[in-house]
Amino acid sequence: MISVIDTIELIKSVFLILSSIFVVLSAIGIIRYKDDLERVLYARIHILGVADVACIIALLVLGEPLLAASYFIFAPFASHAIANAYYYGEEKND
Amino acid sequence: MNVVMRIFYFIAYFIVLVIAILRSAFDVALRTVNGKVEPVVVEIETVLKRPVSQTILANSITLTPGTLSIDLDSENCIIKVATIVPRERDDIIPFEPYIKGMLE
Repeated sequence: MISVIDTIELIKSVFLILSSIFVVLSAIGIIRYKDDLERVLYARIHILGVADVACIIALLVLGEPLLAASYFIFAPFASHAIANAYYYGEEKND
Repeated sequence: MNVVMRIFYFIAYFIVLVIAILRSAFDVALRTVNGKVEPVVVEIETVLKRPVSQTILANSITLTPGTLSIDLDSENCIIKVATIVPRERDDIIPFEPYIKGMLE
């Protein structure tokens, strides 16, 4: 007979496995797409977004809701800054 | 608009945002495996007027994997968005009416 605590642990484990699969897939995606693809930097930032989601899920499961909330709010600023700098720097280089 | 409706719109916005994030996370994770990736930069117009709601919209776009806001023209209400494949406007911002109800 499975008790309530065991069920909660099971659900937590499922979410942790899901987030680890996300991290592995995003690592594969980062090294997979080479520079011959056009505008490859945007594709890499999109794929890193998957790692962000995995991080938020893992922090929520591990019992750090404040850290997850601050990550949820502040993580987009970094990728936005990279994309903005690339978009306006690219015109100057060409 | 009274406070109760705003709180209702906030909860609805949060639920829609979380569903969009999870769905597109699975979508992008699948695209890293099968290789169907074609990054494009599009300009979308928004109906939001206040800068704070435009900022929240741009932040939500970046938080969703597969879409990424590059620049925000606050006066002309235009957001430059990079998407991983060419997409419709309503697929990029499904949470826009909720932000409009929440803050405008």
